Amino acid sequence: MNNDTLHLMLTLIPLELWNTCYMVIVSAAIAITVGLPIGALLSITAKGAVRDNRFYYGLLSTIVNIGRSIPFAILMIALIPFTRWVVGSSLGTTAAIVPLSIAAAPFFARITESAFMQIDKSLIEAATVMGSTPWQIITKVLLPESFSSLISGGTTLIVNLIGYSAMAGTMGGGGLGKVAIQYGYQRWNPYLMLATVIILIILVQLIQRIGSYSARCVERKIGCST
Amino acid sequence: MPIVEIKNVSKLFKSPSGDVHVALKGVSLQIHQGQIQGIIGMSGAGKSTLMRCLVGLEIPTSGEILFHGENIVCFDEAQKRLYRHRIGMIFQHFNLFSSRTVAENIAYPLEIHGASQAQIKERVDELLDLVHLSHKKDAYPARLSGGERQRIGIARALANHPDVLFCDEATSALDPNTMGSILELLQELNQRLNITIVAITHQLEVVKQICTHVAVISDGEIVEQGTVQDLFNTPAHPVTRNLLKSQLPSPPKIEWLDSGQPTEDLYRLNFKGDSVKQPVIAQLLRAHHVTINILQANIDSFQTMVFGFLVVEIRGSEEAKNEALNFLLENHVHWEKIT
Repeated sequence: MNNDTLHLMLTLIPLELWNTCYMVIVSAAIAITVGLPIGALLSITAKGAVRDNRFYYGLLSTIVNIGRSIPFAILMIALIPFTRWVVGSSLGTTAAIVPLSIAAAPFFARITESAFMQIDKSLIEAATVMGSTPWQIITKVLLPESFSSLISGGTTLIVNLIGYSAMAGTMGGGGLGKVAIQYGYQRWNPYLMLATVIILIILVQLIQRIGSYSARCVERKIGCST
Repeated sequence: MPIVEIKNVSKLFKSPSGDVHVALKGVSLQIHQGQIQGIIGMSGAGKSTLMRCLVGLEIPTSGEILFHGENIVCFDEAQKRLYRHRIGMIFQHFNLFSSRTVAENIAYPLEIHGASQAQIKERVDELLDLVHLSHKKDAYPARLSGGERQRIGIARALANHPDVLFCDEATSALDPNTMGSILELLQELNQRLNITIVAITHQLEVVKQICTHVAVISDGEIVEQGTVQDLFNTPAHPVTRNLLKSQLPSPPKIEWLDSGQPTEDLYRLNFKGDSVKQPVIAQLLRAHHVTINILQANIDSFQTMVFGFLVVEIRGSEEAKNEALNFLLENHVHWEKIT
């Protein structure tokens, strides 16, 4: 490893690490903001739920399935015109946020739906019998009762987004993926390649640890596990 | 006017394959202010369906359920919510919110009803005091015992000063001691707050300990109803008798008789109220020429009422026996012939 490589490493990696974090955090925030309400709608329009509605459930579920079934690389390319319209360019870190959010939102919708579905039906009935509106059931019962599963699901979402963001980096996005493809692969710099991969591994490990720990703290506080 | 009136309620369930299951067949029942109405039946008798209809979770296929004269079957969602703010319900498995502390659980119905923070705090303290659990205020439900959880369930159900408290197998998941203390609490609340209680149960103990009135439900029909005293004293329907089996003596055996022969002179004498305290048998023997052989006897109390029974063999001339039986009736001792 020569001085040039070291120099590149020290200047590029911190910057692109920040870019990766920026992409992941912003797209996770958007995906949660969009996915959570969709998941909530799915769970309350499902068969036997408080607002059982086959039409809305079917419609939403189909949209979510379509969003989840398109491979991310294809989705990124397909969304280029849309991305250009939203952020003015289809290249760069900010531009990558658009496909990342769109890929992650349906995923989080399903995570929310399954977290809500795990809550005991009789608890929801109890809330109904106390005179709750569907909105109150979502905000005061379903959300707090499934908080620890949502944290676990959110952790999975972020870890997935780190992977996707690296893929986005290879296709014109910024972040560590860009370093890996441009310097590691195209210029055949094994040191940079290895450094990016190690940093990604550490990042994923760290986030998984924090996520699992937080979920466990919530459970321990309410006494569901020891 | 009864506070809750069930009028000819039927409920059919259709399975996807087209089979029709009749869960309730023309159930009618009136529940008046201050009563503790028990609805007892074996599992599958339809009592849970009836309870779900009463709180609006199921809509009866036909019939009316009147609450203060208003038919809740026709209510839309908004009207149902208003109705539900005027009732309380407790459950077999408590259904407390695990993410909320005891105080927050009790606060829930107040919160969704739009009470202010100050009002909530005051009312929660009051309710915690009512169920004797002030010291558990900040605990989470997972850390409480079953009995404590049900007390919190009761406090939560009473938060909005309901007119009626519905109990859905409220003591079925509790051990006998805890069950006793929960029943005592319910009775105390009924007396102190004059709240009407409707208790669905398969446990005879519940009916025996706290109910003033009881309806026996079997196969979707109410087969017998009335005050607990009447039902326990003179159960008419086979289902009721079956339920009361544990309370009734086993039929007398021929070997117990002096003669060792079958006899037609066996009688069951039912005492209730004041007749329990009178030495009726002694008076009878003094006034009439019969002899009495006591085969079985018991005295028990349901709530404030004391009652007892004797199984006796009455021997004597036909005339003397008839006179003796009339004497018993005059002294408010009902008898039935055991054959």
